[in-house]
Amino acid sequence: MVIQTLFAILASYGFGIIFEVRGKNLYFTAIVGGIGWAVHLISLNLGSTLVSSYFISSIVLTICSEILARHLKTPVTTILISGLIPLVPGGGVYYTMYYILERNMEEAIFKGAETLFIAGALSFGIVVVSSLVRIMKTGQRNRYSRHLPDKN
Amino acid sequence: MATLNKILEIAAYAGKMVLENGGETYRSEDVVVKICQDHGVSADCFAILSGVIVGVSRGEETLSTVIRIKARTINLEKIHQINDLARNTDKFTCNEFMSELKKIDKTPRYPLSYNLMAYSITAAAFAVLFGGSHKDFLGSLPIGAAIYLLSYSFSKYELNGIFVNTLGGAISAFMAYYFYSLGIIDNTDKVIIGSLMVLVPGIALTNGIRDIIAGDYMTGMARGLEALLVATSLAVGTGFAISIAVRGGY
Repeated sequence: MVIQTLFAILASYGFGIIFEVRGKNLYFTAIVGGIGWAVHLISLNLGSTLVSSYFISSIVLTICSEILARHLKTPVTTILISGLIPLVPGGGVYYTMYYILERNMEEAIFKGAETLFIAGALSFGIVVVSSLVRIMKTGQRNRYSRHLPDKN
Repeated sequence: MATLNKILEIAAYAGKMVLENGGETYRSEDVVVKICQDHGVSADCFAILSGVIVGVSRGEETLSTVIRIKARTINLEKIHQINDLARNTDKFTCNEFMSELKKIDKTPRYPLSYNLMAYSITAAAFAVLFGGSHKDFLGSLPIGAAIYLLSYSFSKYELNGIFVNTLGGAISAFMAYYFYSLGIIDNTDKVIIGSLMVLVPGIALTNGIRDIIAGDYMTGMARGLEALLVATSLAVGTGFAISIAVRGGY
């Protein structure tokens, strides 16, 4: 598991360079990627289902990114995107299309549904944390608040 | 006092830069509105992945502009700098602000060698994360580098992504089967998907769902469709290469 986490850190670091993250942000995004993957593995070990383990790790990951982004004075995206990379179901999307091309519809539907649920769990985790952060700093607008009526 | 035209120009340019460098549509809208409000004009902005519409008004006067976005990459450093700049709008005049934006636009990317290293390391790390052995790790390094060289050499022709992705999928599958026949790697499937992770659209799918939850249905659907299209072209490329490799007797 330690080795897996190290490779997750390496993957996030590589993607950080591909996405042009610079300076201190690059190291922190790599560490955050490692944390996300480690939480995912731990919660799988503790017996949670696949989708809920992705949800939990996405929550932890987003909390870490929000805190670090405040400290580094950078938009949360800078830290979050590359840190999310090890968890993101890119392989699932690929396999779904691959099975469809092979006319293996059962596998394709199974894989496609799983991929969609994982992506949904990840984004839902991010939304939950972002909304909580908004509640904590009341008065500031953020994207998840745009449908609420303005108080002023 | 800056003219309305000038304010519109800098705000729209900033919004365009955010979108071109992989920022979210809501961030682009926020940056545009923030810059306009700091200059004391009321503004509204509508951004989708392929364009920005900005309207500003002051007193009797109303102006608007449309900017079409043709190419998008991800460059989070520029997003970071634009965000910093938009927070300190009051410290610059309009002309200074424009020259700052132009300066950010010219920030050099990481050099070729860095990117080569990043692509190969990422490919190799993902091969292990998908359950590959240490031999798969070493075998994925050159495949990741090859994928970067491919996308780099095609980037100046401004082709659409589908062609490059199909080619990338085919090359990674060919190389994986070749390495397997030489005994360099243990699992072809782990190496193929590991090295394709630099191209697959996992982030696009996740961000698309985030956009849909936030109410940006247009952007969300566009991102989801993009993810589906990229994945299809990758699968076509690898499927083609694998069927040839299997028939060729590897």
